[in-house]
This record gives sequence, structure tokens and C-alpha cells, in this order.
Amino acid sequence: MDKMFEKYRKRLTLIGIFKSIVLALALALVFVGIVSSITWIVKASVVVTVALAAGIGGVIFLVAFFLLFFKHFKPTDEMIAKQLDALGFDERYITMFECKENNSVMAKLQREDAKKTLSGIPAKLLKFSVTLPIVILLVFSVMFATGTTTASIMLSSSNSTSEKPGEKPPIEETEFFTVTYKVFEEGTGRIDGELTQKVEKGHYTKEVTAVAAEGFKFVAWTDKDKNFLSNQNNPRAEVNVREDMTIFALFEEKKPDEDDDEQDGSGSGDKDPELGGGGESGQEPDDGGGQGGSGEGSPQGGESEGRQNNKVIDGNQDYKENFDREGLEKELLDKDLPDDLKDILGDYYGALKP
Amino acid sequence: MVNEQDVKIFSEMIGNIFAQVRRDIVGQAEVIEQTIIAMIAGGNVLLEGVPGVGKTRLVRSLARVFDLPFSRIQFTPDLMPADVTGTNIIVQDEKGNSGFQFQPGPIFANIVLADEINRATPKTQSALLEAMQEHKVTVIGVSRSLKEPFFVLATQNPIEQDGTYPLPEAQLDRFMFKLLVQNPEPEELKNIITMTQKTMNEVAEKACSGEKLLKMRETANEILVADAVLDYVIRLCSATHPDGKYASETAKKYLRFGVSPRAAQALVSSAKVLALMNGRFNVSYGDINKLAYPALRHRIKLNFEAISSRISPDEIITMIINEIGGKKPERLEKPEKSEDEQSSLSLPAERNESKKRGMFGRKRG
Repeated sequence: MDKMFEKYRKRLTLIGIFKSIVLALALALVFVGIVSSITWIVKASVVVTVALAAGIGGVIFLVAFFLLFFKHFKPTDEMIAKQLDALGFDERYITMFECKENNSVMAKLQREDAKKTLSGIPAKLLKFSVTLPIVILLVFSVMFATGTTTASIMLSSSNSTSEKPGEKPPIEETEFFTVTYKVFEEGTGRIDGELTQKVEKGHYTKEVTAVAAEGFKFVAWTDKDKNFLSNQNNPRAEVNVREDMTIFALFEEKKPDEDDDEQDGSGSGDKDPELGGGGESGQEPDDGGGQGGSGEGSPQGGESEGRQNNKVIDGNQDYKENFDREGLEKELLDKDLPDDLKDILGDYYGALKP
Repeated sequence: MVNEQDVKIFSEMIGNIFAQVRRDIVGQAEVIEQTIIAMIAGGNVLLEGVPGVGKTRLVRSLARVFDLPFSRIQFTPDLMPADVTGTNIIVQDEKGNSGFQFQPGPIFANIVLADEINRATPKTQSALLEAMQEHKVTVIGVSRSLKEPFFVLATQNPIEQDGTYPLPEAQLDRFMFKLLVQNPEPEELKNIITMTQKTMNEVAEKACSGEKLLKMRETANEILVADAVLDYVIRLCSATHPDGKYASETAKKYLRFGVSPRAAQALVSSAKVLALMNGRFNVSYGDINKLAYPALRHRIKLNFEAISSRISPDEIITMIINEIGGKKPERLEKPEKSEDEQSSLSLPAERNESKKRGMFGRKRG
């Protein structure tokens, strides 16, 4: 019987392996789905999710495959006989199988008849077939496993980019800069306020005020090379600090005809415009520091080395041409500022527009 | 002991028998086949059909073919049991002494045609019971065996109900088959007319003998039946009992009573003959299904719903066969609980499972 069934046994073994793989796969995928759901709930990492799903799925698949095949689908003589009879051989083979120990004449005739009938029957008649419930189970398990695993992995990966469990999110290094205010020439004046300030990148300094000593007047804020800074407000503060800075307050001795009140440039605007401070310094009047001489005070009559500073600021004078606001605005806005800060500056400069 | 020669003889005989019977009977192939199966298997046959369809002719023809003593009993309401079985009569011997002597009735033949059996009273009908089942007759305390082979081939008319006595269940159960003799097809009718214009007499010749018939029975009895097939027979018969543990839904709905164990015996015995007639040495589910109709149709008792719905016994048998899974049922499982329970076979819980597609398998049935 073994020899007679040999080719059918091979065929049924293949079919059994196929069936076992399909069912084991479906079962494993269901477990993968369950594992993924659990890792999703506990918010496990991607690595853990994948490792658990693959590990448990693989183990379940292997166990299920071997159990299914060896317990259920591995072809036995009886199974082969039944499968052959199902092809329409009128129970010849199951009878032959059951009566294989029978040595009666009729049993021998029956075996001969069965062998004769089976000769030339191709093993391909035993077909691979998957029933609808199995297809549905397989599709469901694939969808379940794929869906839950994908969701779990996506959730885990998004968690890992924002915050990893048990690990503090990386703190962005805050950059600080030092702004130092100095008097260019000792004895000519002083600076009120915090002379050395540590400022976070992009932030503002506290205001400082340049106060001229007796007999001196405030001329301008400069760098170490006496180059005038664009912002000449007094008091002044640095905006959007992005580097270490050293700012000098430049004072010069008053001329004898200069009014003492204007010496520090902080005088009220109702002072005599003819005595506008800083004229000799040659710097242009400071509209930001308009509280004093550079405000409504008069720079008139002040003639510096390179620039005329004798305009009367009376509220009707458009001194736009003297103040490169747009340039400043452009410079500030072009810098690598946060968007919210750019908005604030934009509004600020917009308000200043005539 | 059966040998290969017996099998060859069987094949030759069966061919000759059919050939001879077909000389007298036109059409009715299934009725002829199943009647011969029953005769070889040793069963009695009840032929039901309207008058003139050839029931009596078939029986006479079979008697000729088997070359067996044949007697015909025309059943009428005034027929008495003694008219069937025979009786003791007073006779005088040569010396003038009187004494009782048994005068055998027409039942003492090998083939008995009980024509219009449902016209006799139940008392007379029951006179056949012992003869049909045990092949012997008891008259005034003396039992006499009938010659083998012994068959009762009865006929009944299904349409004339006045003055008839429907056969009791016990009587019906003793018929292996109930065969429905249908009206011939037009072409068959033409052949019948043509044939009978020449002669009304049967022309079939002897093709077998009583001894050979018994040998054929012995040969057929050796045919193998797989446990799976035997289990199927049991499932089929058990499924007809509406109140039974393994009742089918059809039986619960349409039947009052199911079949007796004789039905299962009849199915297996006759299926063996059918298998050998088809040149096979084992019984198949197909054999069982084919013979389920003649073997079961007179043994099931329809309930009011089936009668009022005009559902025939054959339709019910078809439904039960379909319900229990066609020809490929699961093997029966024997419970391992008590001895009482072990004595009866149990069906698997999923009785209908086999009629569905298997897990990966082909459609059963």
C-alpha cells in the first residue's frame, strides 16, 4: 500500500505543508496583532514592538505549523485513502485500507480492483484548495496584524522623536552673550546702569545711561574704534543681542559757549535749540533719545567733522533722511530672529513710519 | 467459501438474468434491477403501482428465469389464513382409517406472488408474517420450513382504497424493498403493445436456478463493507427517528416514526449485491444512497405536516441524506462512558459538518 500511495503521499504532504503554513500564518498574525495592540497600549518603543511581534509571531508560527502538520495534516494511509475515494472511487481505498489484514478471496479481489482502478490516476487530481472561511480568516489576520503593528510602530516612533520614555528631552543649549558698557575715556563721564550684562541670545539688555562728567558732554555710543553705532539713544539698550559686545560712551569736553544743561544730551526739549548738544561732535542727532537734546532739543548749530547736525527738531521736521530706520529695520529683520520677535519688530518699525 | 470462480459465475448469471427478464418486461429497468437485488439478497418485495403496469408479469417472469416453483395468491377480503398457509384435513388411508393430514397452502413455493395484498384482512395478511421473516409456517402447533430460496413478491394498488386494508407496519417492515412501478414512457408503451400483439405469454427462459441463486447470495454476502460505510448506514437509519438522539431536522419536522433495524440490515445486504453487480468488491456510499429509497420509503411514518404538505417519503429520504452529509460522513465515534452508552454508537456533535466543505477539502457529497 505504501508503494501504491507513494505519489499521492508526496502530493498530500505538500498540500498538508501548504495548509499548515496558511493556518499557522493566520494564527501567528493574530498573535502579532494582539502583541502589537499590547505594545501600543503600553507605548513600547519601535524596537520593542518589532522585536516582540516578530519573535512571538515567529514562535507561534513555528509551533502552530508543526502541530498542525504533524497532528492533523501529515498524510496517513487512511487519509490518502479517503482523499482518493473523494475523487469518485466508490470507497475502494478506505475499504482496502481497513481490510488490509483480510486475506479472503474477496479482499484480494477488492485490492486488485482498487490497484487497477488507481493505475494512471495522476496525483495532481488532489488539489490545493482553500475554503472561503480560511481566506476570510487569513485576510482578517493580515489586516489585524498589519494595522495594529503599523499603528503601534507609528505611535512609538512619534514618541521617540518627541520624548523617549525614561529619558529627559534634550535641553537646547541656551546661548548667552556679554554686553559691556564702558566710558571711552575715563574721567569724561560715567554710565549709569549695569555695565556688564549677560544676555540670552536674541534678548534685550537693561537700559544704561551715559552721564557726562562736569565740563563734558555726551557725544555718542561707539565701538572700540570710535565708530559710531547706529543706535545713539541715551539711555540705550541693546536689542536682539547675538554676540558679545563692548559699547563705549564717548564724551568730550564742552566748549565754553555750550550750555551746561545740554551736556549730557538728556535735557528737555524746551531748551534753546540754538544750544543743541553734540553739534561739535559731528554726529547726527539721536531721534531715539529725543528726551533730551537729541529729541526736541536742537542739534542746530552743531557742526561735526563730517556731518551737519544743526537741524531743528520741532515736531514738524521730517528727519527721516537723517535716520536710517529702514536700514536698521532691514538689518534687524534679516537677522536670524524668531518669527514672533520679527513680528514685534515689524509692528514697532511700522508704527514709526511717517 | 467463495472463490474467484463464484464471482465470475455471479457476473455471468446476473447478465443472463437481466437479459431474460427484459424479454418479458419493457422498461421498468430500476424496478427489475431492485427486484433482482432483493431476490439475491433474500428479501421480499412489495410492488406498488396502478393496475396494468406489469407487476404480476414481472413476478411471473422472474419465476421463469429462476426456474423456481411459483404460486400466486389473489388476495381478497374473504381470503382466510388457512388459504395461504394450508391446513390439516381429514383423510382416509387405504385401510379406511381417518386422520389429519397437512395440506400445504400456496405459500409452500419458492416464489409467492401475493397479488393485491392489501385487499385481504389483517388476519390473513398476518399469516404471511412468519413465512416472510422466518421462512417457515406454523399450523396447529406444527412448524414447517419453507424451501429455500423463498420470496414473497406482493403487489398493491395505491389508488383503490375502498375495501382494502392497509398493511400494518410489522408487515411492511418485512419487505426488504417497496418498489414503485410507474406507468411506462410512450416509447416503452409502444414496445409493450408491439410485443404483446405476438403473444401475451412470458417468453423468458431459465437463466438461473434456486441453488445458483443461493450461491450468488453467498458470494454477494462476502462483499466488503468499510466501517465508514457501515457507520453511514447507521447514521442514515438513526437520523430517521424524530425522537432519537441523532434525529435529523427533517425527521423532527416530517416524521412520526423512523425505520427499524431491519432497514439497516436490508440496506447493507442489498448494497453488497448492487456493488457486485457493478463489478465492485466493496460497498460505497453511493450504493447505500441509491438503495435507501426502496429500503426506507415504506418504513418511515409520515406525520400530518408531511401528509398535508404532500411531501413524499422519497423527498424526505433525499432531505435526510443531504442533511447527514451525502455520501461522505464523518466516522462515528464511540463514547467511553457507561456500558449502556457504549452499546450504542454516537454521532459526532457536528453532524452536518461533513456536508459542508472541509477545511481545505473538496465539497463532500
